[in-house]
Parts: sequence; C-alpha cells; structure tokens
Amino acid sequence: MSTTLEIITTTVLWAITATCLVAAPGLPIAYLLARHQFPGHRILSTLLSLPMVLPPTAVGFLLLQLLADRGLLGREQLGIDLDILYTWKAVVLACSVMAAPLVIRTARVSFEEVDPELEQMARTLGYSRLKSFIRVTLPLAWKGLLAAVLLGFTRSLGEFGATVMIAGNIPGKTQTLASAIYSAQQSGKDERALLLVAVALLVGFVAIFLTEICLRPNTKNKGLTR
Amino acid sequence: MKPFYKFDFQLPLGAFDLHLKCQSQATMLGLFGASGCGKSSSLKAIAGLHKAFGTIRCGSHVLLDSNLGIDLDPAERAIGYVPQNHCLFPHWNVKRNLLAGQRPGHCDALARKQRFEEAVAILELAPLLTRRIHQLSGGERQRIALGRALCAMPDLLLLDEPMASLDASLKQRILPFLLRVREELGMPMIIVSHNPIELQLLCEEVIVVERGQATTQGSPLEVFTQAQIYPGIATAFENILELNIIEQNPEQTLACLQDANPAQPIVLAPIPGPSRSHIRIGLAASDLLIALTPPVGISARNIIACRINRIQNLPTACLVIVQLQTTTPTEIAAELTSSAVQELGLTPGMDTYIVFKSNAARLYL
Repeated sequence: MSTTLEIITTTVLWAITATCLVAAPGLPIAYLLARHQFPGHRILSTLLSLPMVLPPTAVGFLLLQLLADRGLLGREQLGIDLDILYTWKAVVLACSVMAAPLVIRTARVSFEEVDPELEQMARTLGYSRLKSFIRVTLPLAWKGLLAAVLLGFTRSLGEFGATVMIAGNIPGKTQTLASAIYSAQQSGKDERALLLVAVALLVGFVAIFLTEICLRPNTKNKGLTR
Repeated sequence: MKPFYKFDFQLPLGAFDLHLKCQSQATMLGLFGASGCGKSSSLKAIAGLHKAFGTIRCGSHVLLDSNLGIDLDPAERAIGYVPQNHCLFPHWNVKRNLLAGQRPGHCDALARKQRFEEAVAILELAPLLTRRIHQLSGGERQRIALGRALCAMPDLLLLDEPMASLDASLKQRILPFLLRVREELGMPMIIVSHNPIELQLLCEEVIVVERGQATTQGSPLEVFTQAQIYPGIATAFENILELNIIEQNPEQTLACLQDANPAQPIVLAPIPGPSRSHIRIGLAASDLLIALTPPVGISARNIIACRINRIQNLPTACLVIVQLQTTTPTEIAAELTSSAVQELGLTPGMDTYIVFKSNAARLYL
C-alpha cells in the first residue's frame, strides 16, 4: 500500500499536470468566447460546460469508449497504442476533462469583465492586438485567470468518478487522494480515511480561500468609465 | 480650395445604415445631432474602431479607401480619440496613462517630452500625475483622457461628447482647456456633441447628422439658427463673440469686438481673476432686445448699432439675424416674438440697435 505522503504527492502532481493541460488551450478558448461571436459560439460554449452537469461516471464512460481498442482514439483506429487507460495518464485526462468547464467559464467571465473599449482605446494609441492584450487585458484579468486555474486545480484534486472509470483505483499506480479515501473506507480503515480527508480539507480550503481573494470584486477597477 | 475632411462612408447600425457623405475645409469640425443619430459611430469609424466601407480622408491622410483597398489599422491612423466615457487604464497611474500612447518610432524623444510637458501644463495635470485613476473626479478623468490623446502626438483629435458626462460647473472648467488645446496646439479636431454652445465655441463648421446622414452643414450660427434646428435645441441658443479686453476694473469690464471701434466698448460684468487680453462671451438669443432708435433712460449698458441681415420665422417666434458694424462680418441672432417684429416693421437691410445688459453675457474664460 502506498504511503499517505506518496498519495498526496502524486495526486497534487497529477492535478497540477491536468490544470496545465486545461489552461493551455482553455484560456485562449475563454478569450475567444468572451470577445468574439462566430457560428457555433453557443454550441461550443455548451459542449465545453457539459462535464460540469454530467455525472462524472458518464464522462468516464464516454472517455472509456473513446480510448477503448475500437474507439475513435483506440489502437485499431489510430494504428498505435496511446497506452492511456489504467495508467497515470488516464488520471490526468479524466481530471482535465472534469476541470475544463470550471477553468474556461471562470476565465471567460474575467475576460468579459475587462471593458472591450479599453482594448479599443489601446489600439487607437498605437498598440497592436497582441500588445493591447498583454498590456491591458491580461493585467486587468489576471486575478480572475488565477482563480480559474486554482479552481481547475481543486476540481482535479477531488476528481473521482471519471478517474475510477478510466484509470481504476490501482494503489501505487493510479490511486488518487479521492480513490484512496474510498478504498480506506471500504476496507474499514476509518483512521486512514480520516487522515486523507483531513489533508483533502486542508488543501481544498487553502485553494478556495485563495480563489475567494482573487475573485473579490475589485472596486478600484469599477466605475472608471464614468 | 481642397477640402480638409472628405467623408463618404457607410456602416450598418442597428436601426439604420449610417452613410456619412460630406466634406469640409474647416479643420475644427463639429458633428451635431440627437442621441442615436450615428455621430459617435461616425467618430469610431474615423478612428478605425468600426468597420466602414467607402472613403475617409483627413488632411493629406487617406484612412479608408475601399476602392483602393486602403483601410488603416486603428494603431496606424495617428488619431487621438477621446471617448465619452474616458476609457482610462485603471491599472496605471495618471502619468502612465498619459504616456500610454507615446511611441519611440513615432517621433523623437525630445518632441515627445515637450508634448507631455505641454499637455501637463495646458490641462493643469501636474498635481495629479502620481494619482490612481479611481481617485479622480469626472472632470479630472476627462482632462487626463484629453492629455493622453495629445501625448500620443496625433494628427487629428476626435472628441466624443467631451463634456456630456460632466455637470454644469465642470463643463465650465473643461471648456477653457479645450479652447487652449485648440489655440496653443492648433490641432485639427472633430467634435461630436449635442450641445450647440460647445460646438459654437470650438468649431468653425458644423454638420448635422440625422439617422446616419449629414443633412445640414455650415457655420455654427448658420446651422443653429435654421428654422428646423433652432426649436429643437435643448439649451438656449447663445451667440458667441470673441472680444478684446480694453479695461478691467472691479466695477465692470470694457471690451470690444476684435475688429470694431474701441470707442464704442461692450460693457461686461467684472471678470474675476487676473487681467486678460481677450475673452469669449455667450449672449442668449432670447436675452437680446432690438430697438429702432438708441433707447435713452435705460439700465441696459450695451446699445450697439447693427443692420438686419435676415429674419427667420420659427413656429413660435422669429429670429432676427443682425450684422454688427465691424470689418469682418459678425452676425448675432436675437429671438423676438412675431408680433414684436411686425409692430416694429423689421425688415432685412434696416439699421437698428441691439440692446443687452452686462449681466446677460456669459463669460467663457
């Protein structure tokens, strides 16, 4: 059996990896949804939010179908074995998919809160689109973006349903904090379960507390256009 | 003479299509119209923030020419845009905001530094430089937005309702700054406003925009005294006169029109503050009297000889437009009732006197 410390370290590491994996495409997608209207905007927005309302096991089941030997991304279709199912990669994938809606929605709101007229203003002052994004949009949205990433991280940390479906609960291989709590409780090791829950509580509290600070309405940046 | 501005562009708005087609030799141009008529959208199209089709030329610059495939990026238009809501960058302090548009490639460092200092001096921004934006009042924000546009060394200033979001006392404070920008930097400006007084003070020519189209064009007095426009003006119409000050004392101020006979001065209320060489005054058309002979035994201090140029009939009154006896034609509009015009038998070409009290003149310092 893995030690508690090992479980915590690997879970945090996987959660960080999953968060990075979501944030890399998620933040640009959030900006796209916040600033541009295009055909299929609503459909894309809805699809990206779906994992938030679906049962995690349903998401897990769909991923399983996708990655199974005969699935769209399976060995027979691609000709190569991605070797994802029941490995740590499956944990990261499940966490990423489940965290994506939170990251994208939160980031989108923080981009939307930046007055697009400020970006336009920067353009008239000689800024390119990229420079206006870096000098104006990012500095005004960064707290919300940090909150989005933190929320993604906490969601990944607690992911259970989809993870168990595609990665299983293999101690020392794919066991996470969430699945270890489940195993401990199932095998009657309440003390171990309690310890793991305490750790989960602590990490979760710190992360959400930081998110609260980030998402606190910034009165200094409000009402500037009047 | 070649027009300075040449506009012929279209852009679709919600309720109608904007199609602004006009040209003007004036460098200080005003766009006047009711809310939602498309004047602010026109300004945004000139700034390149709204995608328009057609032609936009300002001075020697072609900003848009769809036939030639020219559509300059907003960043390349060298335009100082001052939006109605200021749009200051909240994460920077005042100085950083002012310097936001200064680019090394645009002109040399000395000129940029000089412009920054000029803007700070003209707009009296020195005490504000280290302040954060959220600590500023509406009038201060307006001045900084104007300063930021000036510091970017634009070839043209676009002002969208520069005083609409300010209360009456702040308007009085901002107006002199705009006049100083006009006089000291001599920068071409297009000003969007629904306030005729602002446009009369700042512009050489005014274009009226109605449902996205330019309907009337002319000098501010020509435009605002038209029968279909004058009654719709919310604030009282004011004749704006530029005067040279002859004498300033605690009881009164004596001034005269810039090319008039100083022996017949205009008497104004005392002007507070330091002595000045010239001043602008506003005379509401409804405050002016017309007399056939110089009245005697009257408290009004100003009785000025003039000749009636034309009489404009309005639905509820008459506008008598007179010309003062100066070398360059100076016209003044007086609003009278139709019965007064009939009783006095006023007709164009008649020599009359215009009468007003010292206190009727609003001072624009």
